[in-house]
Amino acid sequence: MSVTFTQEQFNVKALEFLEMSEKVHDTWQKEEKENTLFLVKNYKFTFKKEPLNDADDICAIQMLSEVFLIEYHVLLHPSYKVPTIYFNAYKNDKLIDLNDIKLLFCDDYDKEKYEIYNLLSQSEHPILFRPFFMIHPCKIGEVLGKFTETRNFIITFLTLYGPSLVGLKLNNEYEKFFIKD
Amino acid sequence: MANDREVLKVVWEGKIPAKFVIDSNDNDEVYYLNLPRISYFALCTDKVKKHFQRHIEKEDDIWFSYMDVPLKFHIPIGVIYDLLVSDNSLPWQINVHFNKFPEDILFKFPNKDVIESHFLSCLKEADFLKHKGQVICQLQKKDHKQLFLGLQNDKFDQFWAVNRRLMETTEQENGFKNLPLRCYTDDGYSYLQKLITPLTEKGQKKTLKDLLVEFSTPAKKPVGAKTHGIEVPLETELQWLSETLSYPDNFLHLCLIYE
Repeated sequence: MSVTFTQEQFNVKALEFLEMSEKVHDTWQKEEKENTLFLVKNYKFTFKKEPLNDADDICAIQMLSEVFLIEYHVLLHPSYKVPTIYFNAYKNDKLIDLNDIKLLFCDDYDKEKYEIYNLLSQSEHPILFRPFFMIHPCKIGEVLGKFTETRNFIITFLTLYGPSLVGLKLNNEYEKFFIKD
Repeated sequence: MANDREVLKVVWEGKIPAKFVIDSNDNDEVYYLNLPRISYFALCTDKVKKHFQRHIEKEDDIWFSYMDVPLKFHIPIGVIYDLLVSDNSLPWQINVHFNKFPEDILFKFPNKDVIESHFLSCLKEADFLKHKGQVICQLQKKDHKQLFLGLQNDKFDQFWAVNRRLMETTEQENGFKNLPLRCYTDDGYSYLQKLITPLTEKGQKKTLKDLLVEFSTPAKKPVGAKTHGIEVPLETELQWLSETLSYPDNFLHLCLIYE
């Protein structure tokens, strides 16, 4: 069963998530435009990878221990009506392109693993109308449909998609809000 | 649908004569192109680049602007013209730039594959709204390719042979589930997007007039809408509008007119 959410449902869960974020000293912020709420987090990411033996991969070697700034936005997609992540990554204030993003988030340089990056695409931010990268939302509804018991679907979504795809990790302390008294 | 073939053809053949000038004081070279309204600037950069090649000092990304506003690569050309050129002057004078690419405003389209994948992602989103994505899933990879090639090479029959299936509705449905549409406000490129059904709760066909009500706010009330350079009559049915006047990305792009 595929699920969808209304903007009102999203707004309520986003506020609940922000409360939790504050309690565990995470840095999520709220942005709002005409009753449309979205969540923002800026994250400094130090890219540290073991040097590769593969001398062909010059690009990857150059990226060793560099600092990236990643801007994550979590919002309800206006057509698919599921939460998704929009993000941009900057190196020295310059936007980095999709190829570098693959290198940044991929655990190894196994070409087959790149397949999952077909899930990422360039897309205009539907609230700010600026270019962003987006996790393509077409399967998210189906995946979240398997977790209908969850207390907060935004957290479920972030746990499922954040760490594995776009380097967005949630603090383990969020767990404590899910343990029943 | 069959009777509307002529309308589809006229929409497909809409052109805007454009005059490209290079953004520098000591150069008065110009280049003229007849731009298809339904196409994208991303698909004509090669021609323009080739023409101005000898003026490029260093290889950087090409981009265009009109009256200091960068022209978006991923929005159909006709939509940009209707949004930005208020006096309808022709030829459309476009500035060509080879440096200071405004990456906070424009997407980079380094090659045709990236444009194609963006185009397909729009079709996918539109079909999700119309048929829960079920029709686009049934199409094969070669059909997807045919849609893009039809657009890129300006082949009406090639495009519509496949697009016809994306525009179909069954008799029981009596229209799409939701209509893929974007309503541009009079604030630059910003637009509104909502779930809009083709029928009212009582099962009557909605018209453009009903749509304008749905996009009204206490502060701003649209009184009309423009697409493909024409003002659409208020009594036009939305389902017909979607089937006939959508751009190749399967979205209706309506520029709202305010009082």
